[in-house]
Amino acid sequence: MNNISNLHSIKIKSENCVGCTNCLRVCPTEAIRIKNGTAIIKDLKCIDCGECIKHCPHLASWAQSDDLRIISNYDYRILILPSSFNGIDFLDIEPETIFKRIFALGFNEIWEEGIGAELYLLQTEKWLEMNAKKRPLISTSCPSVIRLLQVSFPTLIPNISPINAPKDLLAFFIREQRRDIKNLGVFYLAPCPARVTSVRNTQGLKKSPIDGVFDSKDLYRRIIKNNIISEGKIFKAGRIGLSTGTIGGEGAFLKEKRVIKIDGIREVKNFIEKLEEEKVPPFDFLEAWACPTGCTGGILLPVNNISIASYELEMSEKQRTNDFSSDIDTPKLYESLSKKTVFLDSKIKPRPQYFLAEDVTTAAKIMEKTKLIYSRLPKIDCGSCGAPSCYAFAEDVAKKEAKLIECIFLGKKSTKKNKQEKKSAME
Amino acid sequence: MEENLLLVEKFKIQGRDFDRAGEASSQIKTILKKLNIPPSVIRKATIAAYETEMNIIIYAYHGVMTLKVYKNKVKVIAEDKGPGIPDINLAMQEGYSTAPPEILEMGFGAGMGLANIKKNSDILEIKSNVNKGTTVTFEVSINEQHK
Ligand SMILES: Nc1ncnc2c1ncn2[C@@H]1O[C@H](COP(=O)(O)OP(=O)(O)OP(=O)(O)O)[C@@H](O)[C@H]1O
Ligand code: SF4
Ligand SMILES: [Mg+2]
Repeated sequence: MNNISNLHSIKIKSENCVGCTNCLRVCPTEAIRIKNGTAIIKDLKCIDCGECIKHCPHLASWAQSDDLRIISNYDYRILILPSSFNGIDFLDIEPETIFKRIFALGFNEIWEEGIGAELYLLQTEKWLEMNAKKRPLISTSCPSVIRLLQVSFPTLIPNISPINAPKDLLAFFIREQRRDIKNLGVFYLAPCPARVTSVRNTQGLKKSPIDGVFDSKDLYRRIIKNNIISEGKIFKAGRIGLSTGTIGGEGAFLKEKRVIKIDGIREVKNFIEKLEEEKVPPFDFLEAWACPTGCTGGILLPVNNISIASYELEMSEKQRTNDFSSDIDTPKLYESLSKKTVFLDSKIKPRPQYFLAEDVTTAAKIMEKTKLIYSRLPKIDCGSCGAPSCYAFAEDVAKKEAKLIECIFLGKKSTKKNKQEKKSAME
Repeated sequence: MEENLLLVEKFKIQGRDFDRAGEASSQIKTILKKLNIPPSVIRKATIAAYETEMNIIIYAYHGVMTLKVYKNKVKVIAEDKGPGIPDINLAMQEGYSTAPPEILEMGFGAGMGLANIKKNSDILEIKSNVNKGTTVTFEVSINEQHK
């Protein structure tokens, strides 16, 4: 597999892109530039938050995932449904029918990610009890937040929880439970590009326990259109597990602890900046989600309105009779899980993209140059040059990634052709 | 010309300007990040810079913070015009504070600032003239082990 293309799942369809500057302005890591009228994504800077997809009026920004047909490479197939799946409005289709239609697509078992979330929360609670020092602990649930830390806030990487994200924990658990099955395929239905990437390009895990990852919107279309049904085994989460599909679920379970919860990538970034500067009062656990309302706001989730999605999720929570899963005894099992199931097995490395150059001396020179260039720019952040701000443009020029004439104001003055045009216009 | 000096940046700080409190240290952090200074050095320098900046805002009339980045260290020089510190050793003690009630109300005045600067720097020097002003200079060194 090609590493570079796996760094993020968000891609730009150049045939749709008209070079408007909508995405440029909303990208929290300034990962987008417009070059020759088309948006391009800086691979190492993208954190897959989905802001650009949300704000693209031309449907040029999209997310890559696996083709459902890959499941035919496996003899026994298990699909993990994200907790936010229950936020989807399936019109009049009964929940049991939805499952049956999913089985008809070729799956033998369906597991709700919430079971993984229950194990994750029980383990987190235990970890917080046993380790009084490392505070705050940052949840691994949202891979986009983890990427943000890697790209922009490496000093906080040691605060990332050592516990596998719910979907990974569950996938390892399933593999243990089903270890006697040959050629087993474990798949995940993703609510967002960040979770697609977290399978293809793992952070903190040597290898993903998940074999393929699908787009929730695509599966939704198939469920709605196809009325073929089939049978299989279903493993459901309890109220606690389901509740993690939207913001507040993790915090509600850890109610004995001091939890701060935030949603929306801008808010998250703003908060983490304060946290990095140690301007936040002491607390135990950070539940941070890139999407507004958490995963019910996931960009691949087929919902029209995120508030309705959170509401739908809460309604289905109410219908569950147990706090914990009734199919898997999570409170009894969580302590007997293997280390591999529970914990990350490698270090999450910084992916520093904020520096101007690896070496300090070169970086300092670029910074001086940037200052000089910036002083000549109009500072109106018009975006015509293809950079998100005049300062970002000055930096690009200093790094030789852009040319000064790409600024429409300076370009006007300096190109010969323009000068002649001006002259003739005056005459 | 100082040896190995790579970058100089100055920040003006206005006494009692709580709206912009923390801006200078925040910018110092951004600059150090862009220069690819090791995270542990950035962390220490930013915390020390923040305490220094807050002391100017709280106690002095106005001041200038100068950031100097060298190949092997980060240095901050904060000069202010203000009341000065009569007894520096006393001021350095943890818990010692002359913060007035309205400052205490804002959550400052634990008397931990200077101690915190000391803890997070490798060299700290404070010079003060009563009724004139104070100069706080600190350095955080960049060791090989950081890299
Ligand atoms: N720049 C300064 N000018 C005048 N006095 C100062 C200055 N900096 C510190 N002081 C004096 O030294 C005392 C101790 O400062 P320090 O920063 O350690 O604690 P604090 O500011 O009182 O509380 P904290 O920093 O914990 O909020 C202050 O209360 C003040 O009297
Ligand atoms: S909040 Fe949930 S849906 Fe959104 S990026 Fe994070 S994990 Fe994905
Ligand atoms: Mg102080």
